[in-house]
Amino acid sequence: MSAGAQRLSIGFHGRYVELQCGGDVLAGEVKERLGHLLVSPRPCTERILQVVLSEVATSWVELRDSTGRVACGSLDYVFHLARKWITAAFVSAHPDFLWLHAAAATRDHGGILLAGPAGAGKSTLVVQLIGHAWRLLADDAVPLEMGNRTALPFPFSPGLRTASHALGDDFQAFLEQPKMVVTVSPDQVALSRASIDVVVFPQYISSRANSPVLERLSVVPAVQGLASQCLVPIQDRLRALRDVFRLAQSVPCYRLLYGDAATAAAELTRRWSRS
Amino acid sequence: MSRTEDGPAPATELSIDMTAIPSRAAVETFEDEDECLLYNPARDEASALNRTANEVWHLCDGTLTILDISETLGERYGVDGALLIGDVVKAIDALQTRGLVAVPDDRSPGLI
Repeated sequence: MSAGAQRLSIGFHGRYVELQCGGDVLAGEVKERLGHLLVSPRPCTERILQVVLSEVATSWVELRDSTGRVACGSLDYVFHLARKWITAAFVSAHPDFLWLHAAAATRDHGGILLAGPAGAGKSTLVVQLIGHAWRLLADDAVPLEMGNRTALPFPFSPGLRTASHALGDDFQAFLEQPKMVVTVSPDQVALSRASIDVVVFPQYISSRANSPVLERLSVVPAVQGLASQCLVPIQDRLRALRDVFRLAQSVPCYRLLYGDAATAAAELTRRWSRS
Repeated sequence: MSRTEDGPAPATELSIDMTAIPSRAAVETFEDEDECLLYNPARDEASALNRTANEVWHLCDGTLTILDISETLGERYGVDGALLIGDVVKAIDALQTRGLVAVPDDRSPGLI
C-alpha cells in the first residue's frame, strides 16, 4: 500500500469488503458515502472483495478490484460503480437473503420498503422520511430475511439527483444527473433489523404535488413490481420469485402517486408510523 | 386495420383446428384469488394472466380440444360456447407465443 493510503472496511453480516483509498480525500469520500457500513473487521471475518481507489489525475479516479475489474472516471461515477460492486459482492456472499433494488426506513420497530426503478424517487422519499423521525435502514439495495420478513440495515448514504423531475420530458437526462450525497447522522440510521409493514412503489406524477395518492395493489402486480427489482443472478430467479410472492401475499403493497416528496413522506408517516 | 381503395379490407378469415388439444407447459405458477402469474424458467419470463386467460390456461389440461374449452367456458357463463371461440383462440395463441401452452399442431390456433 502506498504512503498516505488508508485501508477501510465495509461490513455486512459477518463479511467485509476492504477498500484501499489513495489519500485522505478519497478516504473522506468513502466515509461520507459509505460511512454507516464501516467496520473494524475481526480476524475471523471473511473478506469477500478488495477494492482499490486511487486518484490518477485531478478529479479522475481509478477503481480496481480483486476480481480484475478496472474502471476510471469522475468521483461520482467511480463511487456509483464501487457501490454496485460492493453490493454485488454481498449479494453473492449472502444468497440466503432476498436482495431488492429498493430503499427502506424504520420507525417504532416497523419498516417501510420503497421499491421501484431508477428515478422513481426512492432515495428522495427515504430522506424525507428521515425528516419525520424514521431511521435509514437501506438505500439502493435492501437485504430481506424472508423467514420473518425483516429488512437488515444496509445503509449507504442516500444520493439525490440535484434537479427535480421538472427537468422536462427528458427522463434520461434526469437519470444521468450527478447525485448529491445526503449526510445522515448516525442517530438517524437503524442499527438493527425491522419487520416490513408495507411495500410502496413510488411513482412521480407532477400533477400530484399536493395530494399524493396511495393505491392498494393486488398480489400479482406487486409481485411483478418487486420481481423486476430483484438483485439476483438468473439461476436464482425462481427462488427469488417465490420469496417475492410470499412477501406480496403477506405485506400490503401500494402504488404511491406523488408530485412532492415532502407531502408524500408526511402521508406515509401518517399512515404507517406505529406510534 | 388495412383498407382497400373501396373501403375496409374484408374480415380476416378464421382458420382454426378446433380439434387441437393444447396443454400447459411446465412453468411455475403463482396464484392468488383470481390472479395468476406464470414464470417460464426457460425464457426467464413472467406473464400475468387476466381472468379470461387464467381460465383458459387452467382448461389447457391436455385432454380438452379448443372446442371443448370454448364449450366448457360457455357452460360456466351460460352462453353459447361458439360465441367464445374467438376469445379462446386469441388467449391460446397468446399463451403459446409466450411458451406457456403447447398446441400439438403445426398450425397456430390463431387467426391466419
